[in-house]
Amino acid sequence: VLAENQKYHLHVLMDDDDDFKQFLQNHPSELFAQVIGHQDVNSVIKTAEQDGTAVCVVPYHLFSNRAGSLEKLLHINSRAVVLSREDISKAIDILYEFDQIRHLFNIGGCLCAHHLLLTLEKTVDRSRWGFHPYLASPKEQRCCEVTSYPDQGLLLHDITACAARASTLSDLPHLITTIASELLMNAVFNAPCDPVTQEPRYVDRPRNETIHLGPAEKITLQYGYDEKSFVIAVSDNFGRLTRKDVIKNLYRCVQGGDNQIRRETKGAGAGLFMVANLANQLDVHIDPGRMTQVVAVVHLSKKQINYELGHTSINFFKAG
Amino acid sequence: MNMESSFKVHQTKSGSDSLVRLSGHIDENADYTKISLTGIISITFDMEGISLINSSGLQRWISFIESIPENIKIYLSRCSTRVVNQVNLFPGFLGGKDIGIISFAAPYYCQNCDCAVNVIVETLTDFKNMDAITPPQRRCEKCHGKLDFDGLPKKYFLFLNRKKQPAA
Repeated sequence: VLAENQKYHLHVLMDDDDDFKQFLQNHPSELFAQVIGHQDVNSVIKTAEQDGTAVCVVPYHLFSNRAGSLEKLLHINSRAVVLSREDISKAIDILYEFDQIRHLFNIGGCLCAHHLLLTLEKTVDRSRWGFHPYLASPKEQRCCEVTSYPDQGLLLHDITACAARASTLSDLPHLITTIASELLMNAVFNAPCDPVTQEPRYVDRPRNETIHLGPAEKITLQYGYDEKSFVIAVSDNFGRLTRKDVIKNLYRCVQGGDNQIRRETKGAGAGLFMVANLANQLDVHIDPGRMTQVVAVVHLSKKQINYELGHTSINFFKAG
Repeated sequence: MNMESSFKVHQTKSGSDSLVRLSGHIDENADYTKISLTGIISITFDMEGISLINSSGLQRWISFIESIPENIKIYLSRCSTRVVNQVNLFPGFLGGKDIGIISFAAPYYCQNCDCAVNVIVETLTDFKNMDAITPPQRRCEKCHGKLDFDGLPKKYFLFLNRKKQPAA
């Protein structure tokens, strides 16, 4: 529940019969929402222009008939969280087409209120960035530093064990370990750059080669779980990742074809696509030149189907 | 190599047919050089023991599959759910070849026992009508009650729509 001083405006554009209205009614104390019909989109634009902190949640299906207005809305309010009812591939298409969208939730199945609320909070409150806010009531959480690439094997073993404690679903530990493996590999090989030339240091090294990271290059791995989610966060000290690079990479993979898995480079260029498909939520936090933190959230459930039906979401948070 | 690989290969031959059991992680350390392709016309990879496939592993796997001579027919059997998910996500997993997927694990749930279970299903016998792919019916080994398919059929069986059934 937001404190009084954390209140912000949330405008929800929706059709009258939208399921999201039900969601809002179930969480009245958490979301200070003003539900309005899409016919009032111009009044929301006016409000957002006047109030820099306004956050708008926009069902994507309204884009088709109100495209002009909603594009204008997104231009003046980069904090907009867009809701859609599509699969992850279509979500990537949407993010590729509309580069002003930073936050997209696919709510074809069920929506995790905590993670939507946290996303909304983070758009207006930088202090909510980081690993810890993801877990409402943590049952277990770990933080470790990765200083050399051989560390990765033991870390993955520990993550698998932790994930096995978090869920009775036998496939979940492997899924979570795969996500961690990809995030660590990306951070180790793609993030560190030469302080003078700004060129990446390890990107052309074979992925089975030992890498000893310098003191300024260490990677931070955090993971843990609560009743509802398993969360993995990998941070580097470089802040070189951009929304454009991420979406370009995901979009190439969505297209399929021979270039889906790169063969000419040392990295396959498919890791984030794998993570975006395996995780329910992929959040990228970027403080340019200082820090990148990539967070993957997996919903815990006894049944595979509940994990499959959980929301999928991709979000970008940029400092400054 | 930065660490001892968890990837294991166990190959047996019967005449011109070869069975290769793979287990562990298909990752950046997966090494296929121990697999002999000499004198065989078919090779079946038993994928049940594969516990992780990452993107570097995928890159190495595809290079290996592509390196297998065209005159050798390739089959995958007992594909774990991890393998099925990767085949669905990355059609290139099959190296652009007409690889027969003989059998694979599918996720089910027993309401009576309140537990998830992976069941091996046979492509040829369980999916006779490829125009209308539905999860095969299965019963729980413990309580003999009906198992529910525990996934999204359209998503999980996507690879079947892309492929022909393996030759009998």
